Amino acid sequence: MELTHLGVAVIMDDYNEIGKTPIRLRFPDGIYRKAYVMMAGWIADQQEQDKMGAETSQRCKQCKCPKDRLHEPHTVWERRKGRDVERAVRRAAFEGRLPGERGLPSMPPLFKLGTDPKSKRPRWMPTAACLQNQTLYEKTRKALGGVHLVENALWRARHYDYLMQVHVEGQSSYQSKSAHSESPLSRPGRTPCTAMSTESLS
Amino acid sequence: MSGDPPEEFQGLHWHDRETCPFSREEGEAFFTYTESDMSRRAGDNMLQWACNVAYKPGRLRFRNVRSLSLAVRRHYVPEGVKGINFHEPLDGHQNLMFYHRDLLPLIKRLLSRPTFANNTYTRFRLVRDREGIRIIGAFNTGDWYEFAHVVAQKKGGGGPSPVTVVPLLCSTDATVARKNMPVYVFLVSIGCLGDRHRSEPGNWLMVACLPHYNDQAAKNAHRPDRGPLSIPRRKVRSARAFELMRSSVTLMHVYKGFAQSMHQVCSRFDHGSPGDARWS
Repeated sequence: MELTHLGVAVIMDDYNEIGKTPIRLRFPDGIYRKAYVMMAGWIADQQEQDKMGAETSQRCKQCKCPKDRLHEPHTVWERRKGRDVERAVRRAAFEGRLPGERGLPSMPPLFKLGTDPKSKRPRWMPTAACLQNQTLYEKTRKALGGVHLVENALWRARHYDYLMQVHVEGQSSYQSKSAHSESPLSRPGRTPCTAMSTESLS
Repeated sequence: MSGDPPEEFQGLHWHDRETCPFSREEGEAFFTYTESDMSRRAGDNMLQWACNVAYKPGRLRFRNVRSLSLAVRRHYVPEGVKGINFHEPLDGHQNLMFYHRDLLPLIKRLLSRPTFANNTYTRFRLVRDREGIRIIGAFNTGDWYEFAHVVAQKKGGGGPSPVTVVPLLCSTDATVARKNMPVYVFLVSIGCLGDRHRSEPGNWLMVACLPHYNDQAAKNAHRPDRGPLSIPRRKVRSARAFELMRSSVTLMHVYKGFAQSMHQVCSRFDHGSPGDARWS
């Protein structure tokens, strides 16, 4: 899973580079137009969605429906946001804080940022605490709702929320703190707005 | 008759005719270049071999299978494809190459197909029926496209010409190539193609081939893995790298301590000889 995300991150960096500014493209009718490349969706079956979300298969990829109510077809639940998942995972991995905790960190940090020796790409290296206590990882993962502590490659995709699969403007404020994220991508202090709420534009 | 040689060659032995413009090897290389599906670069390479004076067909180019396969990989990876090797020693005997290519040439290539000339979506359209109820049908009539279009206008600077949106659609899936090769492809298409064209498999281009991870090979390489619910494999592997780093730090400390004790010994020796002021 980490391998997959390491690979997809390469493509996502490329995509972010393209989508930074409008580029001049020749369309099939022969006309040159200024165009923005934006990611519109990720089409995959369930295993692939699990893998791209780094999650268990027993969880809805779109809403906050609990596992024992997944069979109710018409119940509407609140949508999940990729930004929240990213924040929770990063806080658990690097600060040792589980979701819902307000005080001091309850456990030692499980990962630290490192560099892959061969490909020279940023990568999460486990700390000694993560290695010695094997159940700590699983406990943390369970507290996060089954999300693996892996840097998701889709977190960095510009204009795109991987769980809501909608257009999102701005990026999470958490990502701007990390050393490896590209600083021009992240705009701290901006809230994401979905396709449904266009008020923020005016 | 049609099978006879041309008139100027009739009555002559074939050795006495005009010499062939190419040697046999060169001819093979040219034939390969024009007629087969070998890549252009491979053909060039073969031609270079054949034109070399030192080339002797009896001499084997490759002594063993491994160097041959390496050369084949070097020659047959298509142009523009880059590879990243994610393999580490603890993964054992497996190939973890991640092949990928740039995204922008793929988008340009898709947009250069003349089939889509009248079928591309370049701007948002608000469609209503007779009663004024909005109809959401084609891709450029939906909410996503509207929002993306507005954002593009806003970010594009608001010039006289509108900024178009090229929606990128990604997809991953595991399939089988040539009946026995499992590949894990990463495909990309653009959403501004017509709805009919988007579902055609020819319009999904492969950007990358994600590597498989062979657990058995890693297990044979004695990767530490304890219990069914352990941390993911890659983590353990990189954890091993981390442990190695720690052990090297320890060795450095040992060496440092050794150097310090040597320094102490030397200084004591120096203090014992008062006449030598160099070491004090």
